[in-house]
Amino acid sequence: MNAFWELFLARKAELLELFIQHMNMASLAVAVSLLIGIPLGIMITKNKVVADFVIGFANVLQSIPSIALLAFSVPFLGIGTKPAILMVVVYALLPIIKNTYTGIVSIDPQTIESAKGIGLSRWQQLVQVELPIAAPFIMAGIRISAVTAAGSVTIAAFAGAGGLGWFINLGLNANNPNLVLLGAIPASLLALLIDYILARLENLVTPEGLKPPEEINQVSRRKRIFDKVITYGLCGGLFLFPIVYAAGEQLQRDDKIITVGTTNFTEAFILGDIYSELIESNTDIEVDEKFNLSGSIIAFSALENGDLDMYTEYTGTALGNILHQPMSTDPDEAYQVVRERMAVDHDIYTSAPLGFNNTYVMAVKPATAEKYGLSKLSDLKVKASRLRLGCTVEFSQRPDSLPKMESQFGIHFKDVKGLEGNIRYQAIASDEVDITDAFSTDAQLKKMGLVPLEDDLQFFPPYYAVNLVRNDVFARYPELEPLLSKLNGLISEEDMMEMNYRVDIEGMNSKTVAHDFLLENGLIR
Amino acid sequence: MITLKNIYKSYKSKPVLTGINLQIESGEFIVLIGPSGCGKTTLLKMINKLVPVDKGDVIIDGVPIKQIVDTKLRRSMGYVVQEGGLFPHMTVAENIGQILKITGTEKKEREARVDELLNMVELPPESYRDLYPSQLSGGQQQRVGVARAFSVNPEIILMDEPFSALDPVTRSELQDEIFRLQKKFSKTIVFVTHDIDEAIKLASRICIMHEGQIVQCDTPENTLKNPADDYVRQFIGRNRLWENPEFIKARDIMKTKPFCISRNRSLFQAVQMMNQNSVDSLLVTEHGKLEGILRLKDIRRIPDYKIPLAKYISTDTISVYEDTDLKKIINHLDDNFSGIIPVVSHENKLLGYITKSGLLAALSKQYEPDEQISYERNGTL
Repeated sequence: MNAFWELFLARKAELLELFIQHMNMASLAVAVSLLIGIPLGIMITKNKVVADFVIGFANVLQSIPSIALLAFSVPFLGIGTKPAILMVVVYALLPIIKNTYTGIVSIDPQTIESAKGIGLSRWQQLVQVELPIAAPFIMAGIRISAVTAAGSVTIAAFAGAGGLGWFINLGLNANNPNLVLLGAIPASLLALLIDYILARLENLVTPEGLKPPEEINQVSRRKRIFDKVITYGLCGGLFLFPIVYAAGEQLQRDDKIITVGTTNFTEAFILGDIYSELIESNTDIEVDEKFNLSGSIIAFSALENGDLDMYTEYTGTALGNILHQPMSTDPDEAYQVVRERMAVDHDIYTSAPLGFNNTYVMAVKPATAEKYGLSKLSDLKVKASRLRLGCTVEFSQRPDSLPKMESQFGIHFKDVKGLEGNIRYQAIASDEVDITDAFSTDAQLKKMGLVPLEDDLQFFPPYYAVNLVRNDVFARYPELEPLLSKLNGLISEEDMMEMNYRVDIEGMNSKTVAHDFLLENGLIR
Repeated sequence: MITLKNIYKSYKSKPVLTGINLQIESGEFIVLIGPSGCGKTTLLKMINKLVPVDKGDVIIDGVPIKQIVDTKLRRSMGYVVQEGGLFPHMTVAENIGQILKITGTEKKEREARVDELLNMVELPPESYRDLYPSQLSGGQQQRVGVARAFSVNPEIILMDEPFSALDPVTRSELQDEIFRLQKKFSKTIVFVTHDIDEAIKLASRICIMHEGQIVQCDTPENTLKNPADDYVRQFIGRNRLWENPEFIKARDIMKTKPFCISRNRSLFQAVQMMNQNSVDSLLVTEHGKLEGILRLKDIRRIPDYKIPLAKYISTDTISVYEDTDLKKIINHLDDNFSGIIPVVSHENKLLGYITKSGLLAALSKQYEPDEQISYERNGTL
């Protein structure tokens, strides 16, 4: 509890900003859902078949995993607020369409019949009869979707749009429950607040005549007016605030701006923060941060379409996953291919390696290393059959990982368990497995004092960190080229692991860690 | 005046109306009746274009309604549906004033009109104006529905089974009410029901429909007395006429060809005539007009049969007009009734007579047995 309180105090400014971002995105998403959902809900009341189709379609949309939807939408919409809002809209749409539809079709047919029969036009019938009677239903739908939106906006963090999901994601990466709570609790509170305000609104829009007979006109006129002012005020605030805020941001926005992105793990954040502060402290260029993009594919397509100006990537990933080139285990060759293909095929500049190689390593406890005499990867050729491997599912499946180890070197483990992220370390700590795959700069290696086995077989591809920058950035800001190159070769594996450790294990803010690094190396004053 | 001309309608190739022709005069109270599925509601809804006509024309005062904008047409006539069809989110006053508001009647004028209409349907405005439909009973809701239909003072009012959801007492009250309003404001009302008693009570003409056609369209009286075919006979029910004795008139039960005699004849001739025909009284007429009755008991003791009979005509007898109804006739008979009652036209022209036995025979008809059974011709029943 204490730790949570301290975290809260340390990050309250950031929290406020993320909270506002979160709220704005949720409001905007609900507003968009309303603009689509209500007219659509009304239109489909005319045709049962179309209605079934539309509602069925909305149902299907809702069942698509959000991450998949994100992956689909980024190529079209880029990264940032747009795909995030699209995702939330997709989830918020169904209750609005459904309730608008149900609210209208469940009106007594005699009422509709007489509305028509006494001579109301189609529009008058809708506005004066159908919508007022369906209002409580529609409002209930809006309420459900707004609460859903407040929750699902946490996904926005995966598209680099910020919001409270940012903290949740940081916390998950660092295995820090307090950080997760710092994002989750305000998100829940926001959902409750929205629910409360909309419940009041629902009550207000319920026509007096639709209440149970004994409740009709039981509230004094004065109280009703008071209720109206408060509720409409709150709702107006909820929707107006994002507009005013966005307008304000737009006005403040500098002419000189550069967008720095990162993928979604601690090391990437630290590198992003380092570049970000390096630029802001040494130039008059403002940095727009689009951190936490879920995976290299999304980040790279954002870089290509101009949503990002730069982000750090690893040579191995660039070679295999992005450029689809044959994997090379020679670091120099790998780097040269990446550099050339990036420049020729994508008009993207690849910096010299930053120094460290964040590749796969096989790691064991010191006791295990001693017991079996393990220090090099080649030692496994003999000893593997006595060791239980706990590795990521990816490691066990990728053709250049475990399968290659088995086929090329005859390394067969006694047992293989597919485990996720932090669970691997817990499993090795409790001796349920003997050996695990790890990343060479992983903070957990340092924390647990695990022994990495030297890759004397040149088995793993090189994963040297490089900075990818759009060429047009240097055209706009020539001063950046010499500035950014100051980081080339500067960050050793020990440095990186140390910084990861301070964030993941000690719970420090990545910005602080980045700041300290720049200070130590005299890159900022 | 509404003219329905050769109207056809089918739903999904299933014919609903097949060649309807009907002329509705202004001020008529037309009731469309028939079993469900006979097309009566469809026909009603064609008059305000809620249901489009496949073939044929609906013409109102010479203008085919095809040429009138839907909303304008509907606003020119009242429309009442089952349970009132009130808008639940509006007060009674808002419901009644809805069309007035849309068509731009000033607020003050509108409020005055709403109060007037509430008074018309006997709901005191000050206590009902601001209530919501859910606070009203079914009957009250329907009164509001009727008031709404009258709001723009339309020539024509369409009513689609308006009272069928009400309890019998309330229904009867509202029937009286609408009957009164129709007479008072002489609106043209087209009224759909499946209740033959309601039709008989309200209609100036009843249109009986069967499988998309009008099988008979006539006054309640004629319909009851002269069903067009077996279907109508079955539909109105055998005893329906006897449940409505006001429709049975003197002319329906009288015997024609009464035994008449001129006042210039002698008593002898009169007695002779009575003997020949085995009657105990003769009707005295002059040029077909009834002058009185000559009874055997009054002249039996007269010694001289040669004198003219004029002196012995009794004029204290009751006679009835041909259209006097059975109920009234029976009410006027005293226990001592014997002999005959002459039936005359309003010009006092003698048309026939009613005897005690004739009356008994007529009354006994309502107890017609379900099946034809053979009557015992003698013995004790």
